[in-house]
This record gives sequence, C-alpha cells and structure tokens, in this order.
Amino acid sequence: MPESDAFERELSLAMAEYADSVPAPVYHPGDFLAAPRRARARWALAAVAAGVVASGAVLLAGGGGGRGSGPAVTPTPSSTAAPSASPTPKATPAPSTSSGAAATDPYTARTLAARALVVAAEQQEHAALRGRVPLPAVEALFSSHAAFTAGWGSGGLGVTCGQVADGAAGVDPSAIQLYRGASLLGGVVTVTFDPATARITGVSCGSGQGGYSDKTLSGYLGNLVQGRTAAAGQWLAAGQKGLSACRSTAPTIWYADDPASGTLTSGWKVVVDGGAPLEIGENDHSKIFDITCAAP
Amino acid sequence: MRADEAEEFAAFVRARSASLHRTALLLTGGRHAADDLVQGALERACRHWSKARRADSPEAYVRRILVNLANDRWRGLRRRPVEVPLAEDRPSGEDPYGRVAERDQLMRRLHALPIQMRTVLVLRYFDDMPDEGIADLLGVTPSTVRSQASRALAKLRAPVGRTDPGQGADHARI
Repeated sequence: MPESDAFERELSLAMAEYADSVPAPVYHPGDFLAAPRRARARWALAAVAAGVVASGAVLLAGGGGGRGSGPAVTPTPSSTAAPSASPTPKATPAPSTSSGAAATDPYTARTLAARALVVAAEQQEHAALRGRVPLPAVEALFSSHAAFTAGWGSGGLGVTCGQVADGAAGVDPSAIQLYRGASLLGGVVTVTFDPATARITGVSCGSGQGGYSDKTLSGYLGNLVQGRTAAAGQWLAAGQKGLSACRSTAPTIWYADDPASGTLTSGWKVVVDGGAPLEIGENDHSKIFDITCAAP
Repeated sequence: MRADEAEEFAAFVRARSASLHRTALLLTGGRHAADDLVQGALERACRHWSKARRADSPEAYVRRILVNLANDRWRGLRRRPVEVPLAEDRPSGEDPYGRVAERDQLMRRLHALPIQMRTVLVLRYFDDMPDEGIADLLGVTPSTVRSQASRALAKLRAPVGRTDPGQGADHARI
C-alpha cells in the first residue's frame, strides 16, 4: 500500500474511532416539531426584552415602522407584552433593573441592545433621520449616565468609531463592522453588556475590519444608500425586486445582524432607516434572492 | 407542518441524528459543541422540512446545514478568547500500545486545521463522500475540494511541534 494511502486509511480509522468514542444523545423529534412556534415567537420575545432593557430599544432597534419606515414609535414600558404602536413618542421611563430581560436569553438581549444603539447612532449622524432619535431612550440602554456619555460621544460618533457611517453589520455584538457606502471602514465596534442588568456598560473601538465581511450585503445596501441603484441591483438574483417590496428604495442607513446560514442560503436581519427588521437571504452565488419584509 | 411531513421528519431524526452527531463531533472536536450543532441543524431542518424533503437527498440537505452551522460557529469563536476543551469534553481512553495516543494526536491536529480543510477531510474520509458531492455541498468546485484536501493532508503529515498552542480547535484561520 502506498504511504499516502496508508496515511489516509489511518486518518479514516482515527476519525471513525473518535466519532464512535462519544455516544450520540437521543434527539426527540417532538422537541423540534414544537420549535418553529418558539422561533416565530423569538422576535416578539426579543422585542419585549428590548422594551425591558430600555423602553426605547424597540424603537431604536426597529420595532416600530413597518412598511415604509415611517416615524419611529416608542414602545410602552416593560409590563406591556408587545411593542406599542403609538404614533406619538412618549417620555422614556427608567427601565426596571429587576426586569425579565436578565431572565431572557442574554445573547438576544445583548444583540438587541447593540442593534438599538448602532441604529440610533447612524440615525443621529444623518440629518434626515436625526429627529427620530430620543436620546433619553438611548441613554436608558446604558448602565449609567457616565457610560452613555463615554460610549455615545458627540452626536453618536462614539458608537461609530468617530466616523460617519451609513451602514453597519453586527457579526456579533463583539464585532460590529462599519460601512460608508459599500466600503468597509476601519474600526470594529464592541458593545460590552452586563447580562445581570441587561444594560450596555461600554462601547469600544478596535482596530482592523472585523474579519469576515459580507460583500453581497454591503454591495447591495451600501450602494443603495448612496443612490447607486444600478450597482446595488447587481447583487440581486434574477427576478428579485429588492427593498422596493417593503421599504423605500432610497434608504439612508442600514444595520444588519443575526447572521445565519443553514440551508443553501445565508441571511441577515436588517434594519433600514430605523424601521422594523426585515430578513435578507443570500444564495450560493452571492446574490440576494429573498427579502422578507417582516423578519420572523 | 402537515402530519405526513411531521412523520417523515420524525423518522429522519430517529434514523440519522446519530450519524449527524458523529460528523458534528469530528467537525467541532467536542461533544457539547457537537450536541449543539446537531440540535441547531435539526431545528433548522424542521423549519425547512418541506424544502428538505423535496431535495434529492434530505440527509445531504441537513448535512449541509450542519456544515454551515459549523462554519458560523467557527467565525464566531475565532474572535473570542482561546478556549481549551476540558478533558471531559474530549474522548479519552487508556492506550497500552501507543496507537490511541497517535490517533488522538492526529485528531488534535485535525481540529487545529482551518474549518474548511477540516470539513473537506471529514466529509471525504469519514462520510465517504465523493469530491463532487463535497464540492456541491460546500458550494465550491471539485478542484477546490481536491486542493483543500491535499493541503490539509500535508498539514496533518507535517512534523508535530510547530503548532501555536493558541491555535487550537476552531481558532485556526483559512
């Protein structure tokens, strides 16, 4: 037997031995068959968590809006089971420190807080959207006034590493990439979060560009916010109409997070101009083939 | 999900979850991570079962989910501090003849490979998939699969001792 064949055979045997050395757990089909219902409830649950984290979170993270990305709305306080659709922004009550948010999945709470913060900062940095940002709600995302002051910086620039950004991709809350147009900016935002109080304790900027970046996402949304519709369209799969199905085709800012891949596709949750999150799906050919106006 | 689809899915879980778990164990190098990976893959498969059942091979469809999730996990972990698997998280055993120790070393080196190389080797040498099938699953060309496999085998054969201790499983870069 050639040496290479022997090595490959040994590798195969080693793999088989390793794989068999740990008994597989028993997976109960019924658990999964109940899962879609939980998955559909996830956003609602997360929205409640965000409302508890700070009543402005849902507003800032895109809980309001819906089609057309209309004026943002402030959700009712934490006792409410779902975000309010009140068209009139309200005073922001202090979030409860004994909220259910801490009992909710801390990763989800952290993701929503980071989403709320970055979307607010991007809106603050663009005159057309600035009026939608209730600063008390932003401050309520933080653990203290000092943390807010240090993290938010001047006009939200502290959140975007001192640069005006019109796009961001939260690969995770520890690595939020910033974009201007389709260009990836230097600097990676990290949002530190206290799961016990469900508040942001700090915002920091690291060097580099955050590793993996999705050129399809930034190619489409980045060109779109710069008015380059034709260039953006190159990232759409044949027959895909893009954002026109659920949003203005001339958005100002975007924020994507919750990246996932699982089938033949990958996808992101995307907030455009502070509206409700939508879901973008990409196919194997790096084209956007699906946009779901209301993210599940 | 319709009743007949639910029954199909349940039969799939009962028949194939153990096989998926073995692949997941090789992809992740840890039983808890493998548990989570299969859990996540089956959850997604359930949500998309109407599509999966129409695929030529539902198992290949779910295996692709598994591989994609392993990639996602790797992307996340490589930005986090180095995690050293607990001893109990790795298969263990006495080795009176040295063979198990050698194979354990081989598996450690496998898990230090970049995720794409590791995936190619696992699918090729554990799941016995042809290069064309691996290429289809990973969305690359067969020549890329062969190239990745060749480079991965070369890395596995390379002398031990040049590995950065911080570059353990899930922390190597492609």
